[in-house]
Amino acid sequence: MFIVYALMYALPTSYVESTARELASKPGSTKSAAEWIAELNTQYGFDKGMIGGYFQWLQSAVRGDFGDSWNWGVSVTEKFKDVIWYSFALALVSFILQILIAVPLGVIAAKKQYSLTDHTVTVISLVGISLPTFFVATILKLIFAVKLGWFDISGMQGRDYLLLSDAGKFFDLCKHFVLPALTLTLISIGSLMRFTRTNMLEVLNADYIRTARAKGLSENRVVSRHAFRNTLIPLVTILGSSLPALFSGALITETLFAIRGIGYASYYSMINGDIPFTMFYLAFISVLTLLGNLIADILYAVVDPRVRVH
Amino acid sequence: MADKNKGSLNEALKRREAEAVGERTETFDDFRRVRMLSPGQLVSKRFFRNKLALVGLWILIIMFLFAFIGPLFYGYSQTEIFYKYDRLEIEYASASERTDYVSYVLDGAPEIHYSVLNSMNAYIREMEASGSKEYAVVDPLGLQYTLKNSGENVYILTKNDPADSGQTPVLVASTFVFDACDPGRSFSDVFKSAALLALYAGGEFTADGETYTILAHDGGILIRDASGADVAALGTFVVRRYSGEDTLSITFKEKAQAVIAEMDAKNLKTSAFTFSLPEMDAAGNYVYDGNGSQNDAETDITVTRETGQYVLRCEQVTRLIDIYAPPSPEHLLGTDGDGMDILARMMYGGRISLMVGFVVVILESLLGVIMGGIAGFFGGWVDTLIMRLVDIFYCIPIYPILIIMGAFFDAILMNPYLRLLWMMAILGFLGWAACARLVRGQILSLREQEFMIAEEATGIRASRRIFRHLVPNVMPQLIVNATMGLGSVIITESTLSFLGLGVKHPLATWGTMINSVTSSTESMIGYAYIWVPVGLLICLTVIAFNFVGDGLRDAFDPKMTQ
Repeated sequence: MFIVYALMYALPTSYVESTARELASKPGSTKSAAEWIAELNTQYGFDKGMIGGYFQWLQSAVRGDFGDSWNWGVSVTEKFKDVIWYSFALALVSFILQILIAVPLGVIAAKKQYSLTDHTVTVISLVGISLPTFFVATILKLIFAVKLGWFDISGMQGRDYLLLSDAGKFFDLCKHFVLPALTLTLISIGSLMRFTRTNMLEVLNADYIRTARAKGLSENRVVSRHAFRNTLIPLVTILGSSLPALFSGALITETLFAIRGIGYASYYSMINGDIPFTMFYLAFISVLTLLGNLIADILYAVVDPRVRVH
Repeated sequence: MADKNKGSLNEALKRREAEAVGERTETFDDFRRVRMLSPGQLVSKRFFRNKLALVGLWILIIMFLFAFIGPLFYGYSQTEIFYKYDRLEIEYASASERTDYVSYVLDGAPEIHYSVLNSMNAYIREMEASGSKEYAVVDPLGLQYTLKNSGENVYILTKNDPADSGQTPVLVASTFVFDACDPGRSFSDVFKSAALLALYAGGEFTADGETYTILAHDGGILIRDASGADVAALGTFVVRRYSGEDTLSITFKEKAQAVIAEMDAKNLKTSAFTFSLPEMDAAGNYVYDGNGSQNDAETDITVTRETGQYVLRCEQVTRLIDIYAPPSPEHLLGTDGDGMDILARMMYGGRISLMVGFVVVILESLLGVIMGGIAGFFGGWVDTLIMRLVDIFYCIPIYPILIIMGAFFDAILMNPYLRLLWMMAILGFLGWAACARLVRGQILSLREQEFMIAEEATGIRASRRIFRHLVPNVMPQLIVNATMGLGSVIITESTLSFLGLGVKHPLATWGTMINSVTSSTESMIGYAYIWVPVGLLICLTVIAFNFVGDGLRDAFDPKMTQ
């Protein structure tokens, strides 16, 4: 965190100087530009140098006051509340979709190992993890938005958004979310499929499965009741730990589709040297990561009885 | 021996098999013993059996040849700009009315004070406003002059010399423009002043040793030389080509002025006329007919009245930068928005992308092996310290830092090559944590094995133990990790360049090429050949790396049954 603070401190785009100049040139200002700079520096803690400034930020941050965003003009927490739910909605949709697509395919691929299905799934998953986000987004835009004309190219609202009823507004929003959600899903199914398949294979080669088969259970029952449940253990853990990450927003997708979510906001803040917002975002991300690890540990204990014993 | 075994089951089975097969008899001798392969050979055998891995390997080989050997055979460089000639409506000439009076000091006249010279236009305006034909001027030194209007647009300044009974003209001012009948010919000030003096006083004058007559003719004013040939025409419009060449014929200028006068009379904003202009072929060269004189083609010229001038436009063949050219035999994939060949840029871009990938992965693997090795091998407080370091580096958000560094480099306008180096260094530096953790895990498990105890007992040096015995056993996982990491580094670098924060223009890399077209939709659909091949190339390369990595993982894994 401090590294990032130091980096942004060194950024030449100095918000403080430009604000000071602006404030000083307003009619009726009582201070000159130099005095404004001094006052703003005191306010933001820059006069104490990099380290002092960092600690000042830390003090106020711990108390919950993250200050005003320089780039967006409003207070950081307010801007955050504005944008976070769009990102979350997008991420949730793609999360559900990717589970629905990737897990069954992974299970089937493991069941029929070395068959054509398995190879196809392997190829798809490897291709999936290799696709760069921006390329997928652009290709989707090209096919659906430009050639077929089904969706708008970017943005969150249609042109006649304000004229629509509430239900209409909701559907308009949904319509604009289709392409970004599709992009996010396509990128993530690769790794999930692979993960499911690997775990399923491991489980299917275990001794208790062999016992179940020897006992004469039907293959279907063996897989769905015994193997699948055991695969769920690592799967649920991974998925649970990635739940907090749903809030972190997908930077590139949001920027490309002009969805005003947290990723988009943080990207522009970073480029424009908006220190309060960026620091807040990073603190937020760190909290999310820790939360994710915590949930993973908890879920491991919940789902796997063997862990509970220890 | 054979007799003794004749009745055994083994022999019986073999005999039956031999009968079934027909020719071959299976004897359990050296030929039939299972061939022992070395570990490396085993791994290669498993790897090459994997079809996907083979495909990936082939793609990689092709990609490397394309990126590194390709440019040697392909003539264009990555920043070479291409030009073409095309018919384009350009601003050919401008016609503006001269409203300020230009003063010509007569040859041999006494020196005039600079304040008088500078105020000529002011005096003339005053005369026009008051309507008088004469004006008295006194310069700061007390000398007296008279400014007389000798006729339309011509004013003569004469000096009142008390000694001389008359008044000697010292200066002539006029708004007339001298258009030479011979394009390119210019007239000296002596010529012009003599002509203007003679305009309303006789019509004959001598200049530069030749006699000329100046007379009003056909609504305009002509200057003829002694033989009666036209030399120049006087007008009030300056008609000039935008390109600076003085190739406009006098008929063109007269025609233009006539059209402008008509426009004024009818209060039109635009008008048009046709004129014969020198013809240019598709390659931008002038066309000459059999006798060596220039061919002329009828061209439509539009005249538009704009602020302060009239602009004459027509279609001409001009030299343009060949942007967005579609694929052709010359440029196999066309040219991009800056006129540079796309295929060449893809090759050079491939070099940079692949090089970045390799350097970063080697850097982070090296760091990871060293740190992980030390941590795993020595254990204790060294291990704890290094693991804390790894945790810190793990928590560093890579994308935000890269984006901020990118914005930082943007702001200080760093050299593109230097930026590339920085980017590689940062990517390598931030990525060693995962590798170190992996290596440490491997070493911790290997440390307990018997061969390590044997080494310790034999007294081999610690460093030798690490590097010659432990590290080669870590290699398999390391290689797999490195290969998969290569793919992700290439994607990261492309994404950063796409956002505009990585490698910069004019260096080509696969991400920047896509960046140039996503800003507008017309570029996206109309010029799909610019970005789709590049994107596919990125995908293919990364897919290939992932296939190979996957194949390697399966090949190294002894638990694979097939």
